[in-house]
Amino acid sequence: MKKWSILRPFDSLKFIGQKPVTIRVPFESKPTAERYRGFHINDLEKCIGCGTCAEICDNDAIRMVPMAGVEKETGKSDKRPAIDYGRCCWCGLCVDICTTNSLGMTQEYIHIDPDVNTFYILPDMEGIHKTEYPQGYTADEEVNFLDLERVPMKELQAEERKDSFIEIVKGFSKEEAQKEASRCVACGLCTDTCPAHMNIPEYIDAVWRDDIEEAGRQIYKNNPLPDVCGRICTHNCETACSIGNRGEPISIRWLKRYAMDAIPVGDYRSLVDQKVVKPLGKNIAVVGGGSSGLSAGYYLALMGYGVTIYEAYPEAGGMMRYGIPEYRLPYDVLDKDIRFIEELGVTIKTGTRVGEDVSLDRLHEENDAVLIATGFHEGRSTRTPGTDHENVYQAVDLLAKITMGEEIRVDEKIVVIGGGNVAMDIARSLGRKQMQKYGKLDVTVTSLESRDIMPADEEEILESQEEGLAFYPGRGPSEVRTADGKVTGLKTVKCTRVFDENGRFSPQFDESDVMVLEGSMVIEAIGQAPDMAYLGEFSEQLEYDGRRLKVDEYFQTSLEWLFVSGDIIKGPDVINGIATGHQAAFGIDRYLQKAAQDELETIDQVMELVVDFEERSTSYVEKALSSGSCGTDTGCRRMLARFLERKKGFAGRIRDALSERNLRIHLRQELGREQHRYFDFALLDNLPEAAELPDKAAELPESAEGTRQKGISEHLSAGYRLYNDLLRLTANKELEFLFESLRDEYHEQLRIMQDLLGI
Amino acid sequence: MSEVLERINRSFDEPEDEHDEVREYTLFIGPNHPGIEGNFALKLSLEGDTIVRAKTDGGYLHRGFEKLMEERLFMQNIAIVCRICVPDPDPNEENYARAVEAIAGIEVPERAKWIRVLVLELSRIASHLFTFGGHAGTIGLYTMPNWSIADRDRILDLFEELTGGRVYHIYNMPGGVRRDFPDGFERRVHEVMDYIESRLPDYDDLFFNNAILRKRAEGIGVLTSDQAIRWGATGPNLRAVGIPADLRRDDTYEVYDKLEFDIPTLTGGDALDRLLVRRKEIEESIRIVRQVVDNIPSGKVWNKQPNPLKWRVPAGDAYVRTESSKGEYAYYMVSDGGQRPYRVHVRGASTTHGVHILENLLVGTRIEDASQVMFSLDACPPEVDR
Repeated sequence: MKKWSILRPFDSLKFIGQKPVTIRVPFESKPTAERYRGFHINDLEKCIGCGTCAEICDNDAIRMVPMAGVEKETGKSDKRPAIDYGRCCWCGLCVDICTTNSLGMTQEYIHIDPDVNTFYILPDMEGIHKTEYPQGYTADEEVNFLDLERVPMKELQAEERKDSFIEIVKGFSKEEAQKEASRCVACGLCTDTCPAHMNIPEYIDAVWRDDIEEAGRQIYKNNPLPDVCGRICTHNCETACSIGNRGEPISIRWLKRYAMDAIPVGDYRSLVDQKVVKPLGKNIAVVGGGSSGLSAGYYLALMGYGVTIYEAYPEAGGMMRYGIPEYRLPYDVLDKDIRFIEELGVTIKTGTRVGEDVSLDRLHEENDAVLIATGFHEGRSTRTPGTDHENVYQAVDLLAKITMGEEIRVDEKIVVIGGGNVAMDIARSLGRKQMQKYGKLDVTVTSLESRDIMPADEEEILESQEEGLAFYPGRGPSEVRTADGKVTGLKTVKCTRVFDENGRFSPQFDESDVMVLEGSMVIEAIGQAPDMAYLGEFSEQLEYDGRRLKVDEYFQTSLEWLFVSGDIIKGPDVINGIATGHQAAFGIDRYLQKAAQDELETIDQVMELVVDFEERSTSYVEKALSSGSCGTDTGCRRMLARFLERKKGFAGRIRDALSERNLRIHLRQELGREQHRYFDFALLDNLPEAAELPDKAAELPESAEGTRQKGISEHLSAGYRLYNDLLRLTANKELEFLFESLRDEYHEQLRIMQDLLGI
Repeated sequence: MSEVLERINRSFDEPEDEHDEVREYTLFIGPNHPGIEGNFALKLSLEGDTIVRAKTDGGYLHRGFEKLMEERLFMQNIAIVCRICVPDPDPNEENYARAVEAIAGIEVPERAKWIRVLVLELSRIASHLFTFGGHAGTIGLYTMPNWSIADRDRILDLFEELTGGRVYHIYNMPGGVRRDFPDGFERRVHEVMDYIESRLPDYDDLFFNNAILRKRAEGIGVLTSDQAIRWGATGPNLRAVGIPADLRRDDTYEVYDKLEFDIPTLTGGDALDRLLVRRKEIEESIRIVRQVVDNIPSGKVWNKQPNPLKWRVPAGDAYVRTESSKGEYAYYMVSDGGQRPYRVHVRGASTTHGVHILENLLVGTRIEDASQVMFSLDACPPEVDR
């Protein structure tokens, strides 16, 4: 037989009777591979709604949608990913980049339905059909798209730093900053958490692009003390950072510092795009030149007010200067920020203590409004026996004296009481003084809180330990021991609990466990209190909320000319000081601009309209859907559903744009310039059909769908009014762009409604 | 034959004498035709049963991949490139990954290189099996597609297990591969390889030594070695004219230089030899796959790359090529230092085979062989259209 022949294929007859590969009777289902990329599942509890999945998605298949019952909280948004299987290509990139490992895929891959809407799902752990399916493709620890490790920050070593007040943290180089910035996924959860709502993803992106000017511009939008915040901010943003769920959060604070350090001081002015508008001829006095007072002064000056800040100390800066040691925040850095605020026209009267050098009453008479932004400068005493001795000091007093360069007593053995950041600051400062004076360091720190619940920043504690400070946490002071009139040490007992079951401060001690910490000098650093003696006679006229002054949402007290911000209202920390100062500035502006209320009322009206628009159109569409007026017409149902979805985004965006904070400052500027108001009449002309639609709807014959028609006409007229109002507000260039896009959406909605009405 | 050539040489624009006997007519094959792999059309001018002129008509599968890639982040593109060629997607992923690696200077872990070779060879076997079925279908031997495509499914099962996807693997990416072997994967690869190898004699009986194939395919669509070189044939089509060119040897990549395999060649240059070269290549691929699973080093499979949302590839360009089942498959990538490729050009092997060579080879063949010639060149229309 030839090698090839017509008979050769007949060899295949040997397969007759054998089990076929393709058609199996009875049917056997083939198990899916363990790693199969099927329909998505998402652990909605674990998911933080960062939207990184939507960012990486190739096909724009993932949309972040607001979810009922989910509230915004620190590090979590109120949105969750919804997936459109008309677009999804099952590549699984979303799974590999998920910041929380909540997103995964199942082994399920069949979905058949004539209704296209069922292909758009919000995945949860139950899967698309709520059936038990084994998990398929899941995140892998080895192949993980996110950059989870921080670029280490260069610092002075303990030996180099412990005898000097030179700044410890050296800052990022350009390469390091860009590498660190590249880790950011720009989810924006940090912005929500930051008290000042800084544009964090924007400036991180600018740092990454090496556009330092843009970074500075973004930073200055919400923070007039960026150099300070770049060093000592409490960085709530880093707590919220989505990368922190699986790795180390982005060093947001150091990136801010890098950006500000890279810009020469002389260029700050060009960064602030909000120019000072024409002076309004109104003056405001600010009591206290700390973070909050400076912040309020900055924003008020931008709005055109004359601002005078009264500062009791020889230099402005408040706790930033007199509380925080130089090795954490060098004074020249602080001076940079303050000088810039002064350049904008803010007058700072230093060495003027309100209540002594000038009375609050006089400030009231000479100014249109007064903001008090004094901080916590009074040290609290432990009231332990013996603390009235002259060698027992308050930490804040000593820190201020160190800043002012005054000679202070430094002994060879020092005991510090307190476990917070102030205790660390004074202990480390005194340690440095000891090194300079004696060449050796002997500072003992004791706190009620045990090591794990010490309130100081972890890095502060670790650095203190590196520098050689001795820690005795979990001990309560019971007596300052003296001999021959000199302090010899501090007797402490073991603290068994600090807080009771309800989280209230209620320490308990084990008196049998006694330890005496030796030292000839004892420092109390257990907390601070405000000194508000300057209020004088006004203190009786004011209303209080507990210990704090009672203020409304605009930071206005019960005396309408008196506003409050800073540590005495919220905090205490720098960033809350800045944020409340910013908000109080708007409150003052609102109070003083009652005359220009007409314009402001327009905003309020629009805000009302937005809410009204949203509620009414939602209820209408929901009614239409539930009353079954669409029947089985999937086209109609789909259109309504789409309308509902679009409308949500529409109203939400208007609301964001019109948030009072944003709008007031823009409007003030526009009004101040007295420029020709921008009306785009052409846009109005383009919408004659919008005006006619409600009438046309009313003309339609009465039918079972009466509700539907009424809803449409109401919706359209409300929408039309809203639209006109929005146009009037587009005097502002920044909002202009947004309204442009809103106009397009509104047109689309009109078209949808026209389709529905058949006109 | 000379009469036909004479007709070819004549200008086609020259109007035919209306009163002359109508000798030439036009026939369309495709774009939807079982004899064509994907959507593609041939516009044939015939005289009797003989093709005097052929014009390819592509574009039905044009999805604008090259342009799409310019709009997407470097890492996002890994989900797109595999779609350029459906039957043999992995050379796309390989090229894309290697192009980015070449521009950005990225190192790939040793284990990932071995895995890439495994994936490429499995894909080659699957693609050849697909072609055998297609070729057999064009000459009416419908048992072969049933067999070979069912056997190809076993390889797809392996892909499913390794990558999570059967057809589009989205597995190879800059820096390595996305996942390591699942447990017991090596054993199952061996099982499938043993099975495929055991099937080859059956294929011989049914198809390769079938007199119908021999009689139909022998001497059809003959490509001479001169023509092959001049017209830019690569891969099995070039090896079927006796030229042992293979990028795995000539411009070696990944770990092919560490593996033992032969480069089968034949000298006929006709449709049959092109088919038989592929038949022999399967044996070599099985050899390679076995070596890979037996000798693969341990280690990680991916070198960490920056956050894909903020990843800039330095400015530069790279031309990388891979020996796909169709021939030389290359990407030319240019980066301007941004987050997205500035330009990616895809050199599909099928562009030369499926357009230029096909148009030439069809001339003089009979209408019933047109599909066979196209399949013997293994031209993949999506690769032409990109």
